[in-house]
Amino acid sequence: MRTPRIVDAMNYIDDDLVSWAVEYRRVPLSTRLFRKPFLKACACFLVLALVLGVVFLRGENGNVVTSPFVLTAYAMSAESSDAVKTELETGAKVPISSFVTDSGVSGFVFSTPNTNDDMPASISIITHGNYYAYIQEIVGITIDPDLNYYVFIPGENEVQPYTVFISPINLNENLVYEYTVSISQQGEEYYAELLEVITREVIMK
Amino acid sequence: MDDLMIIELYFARDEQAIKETDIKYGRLCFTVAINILCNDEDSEECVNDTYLSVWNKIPPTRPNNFMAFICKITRNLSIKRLDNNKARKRTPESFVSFTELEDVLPDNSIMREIENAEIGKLISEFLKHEKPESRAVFIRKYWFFDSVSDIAARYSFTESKVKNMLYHSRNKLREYLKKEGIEV
Repeated sequence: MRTPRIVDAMNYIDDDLVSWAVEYRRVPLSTRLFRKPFLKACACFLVLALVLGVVFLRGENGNVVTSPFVLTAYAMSAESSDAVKTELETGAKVPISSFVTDSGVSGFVFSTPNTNDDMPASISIITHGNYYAYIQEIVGITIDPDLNYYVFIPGENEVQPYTVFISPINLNENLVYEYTVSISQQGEEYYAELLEVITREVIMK
Repeated sequence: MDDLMIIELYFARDEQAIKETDIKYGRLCFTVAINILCNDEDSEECVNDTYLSVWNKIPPTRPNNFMAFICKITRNLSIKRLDNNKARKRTPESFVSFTELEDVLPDNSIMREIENAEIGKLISEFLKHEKPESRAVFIRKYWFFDSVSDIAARYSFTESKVKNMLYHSRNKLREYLKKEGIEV
């Protein structure tokens, strides 16, 4: 077979086409799109929004805090008969006191909003010891029907700082928020510190 | 080194010109040759023959596009050598490209009085009106004789996409050449 004439003829195509084909690099569609200033601006905006969103949602220790719950600690007030309520924030120590309940046991009190419409507000006991009590009242705290209360009763042999795990569930979103709180004594006062909040999906069996 | 400076070295009959040409275009020339010949030894010889040819042509020729100039010499020499090899029944893969191109315009349908240069000019015109991607794929395949897989890798296409682009370009070129009155 002889070399066809058209193959020889191809050798006469413009020099510029040959050198162009050597140097030509196809630009991927994504890169071509980003050359357009408007799309570039949109992309920058999205990245910025994403970064700001992540920073906003992250706690100081890097855990993602997306909880709708506000964890509140209660402390006795020297000036008033009403308890002082302080919202817990990661890394900040807030005053907390031990309150007596109607069943006779004493414990540190926290509350979270009751987000589950179908469930009545409740008072739960959190303890590492053995306490079987039904609490309806906490002395010095006016029970709010829109809040769930948690009374932490340290075990008899438990040493400070106490670590408390509070896990409110948001059934609407099927999520459980695990708060880890540390309670320690400084002088005569107790202080609570929110260590971390972890979100987990509720696994229904 | 800049092409103009290399050309000046040729004009000064400085053998450094060949060294600089080899540094800058040796690999490209070898690619052109091996795509046609599919043989390392023959391709090396073709590249060396190219340097000799460039040495003999410059001066008096002063190429405007040194890269294309040297590639064209390599391509011509490689095709000539391929013709010799064919006589010795050594047929490489570039034959596939030849056959595909011949389908566009068979030798017996080309008017005898038409020069290859004229057909080349028409193909240039056709390619200039093609989309850059199709144009690049066509030239890489039928001028440089790159394999379909190499072209696909080079431009991040699938092999079937490259084959499809080539098929359409060939058909369009056939129609274009027919319209321009190349056919008998």
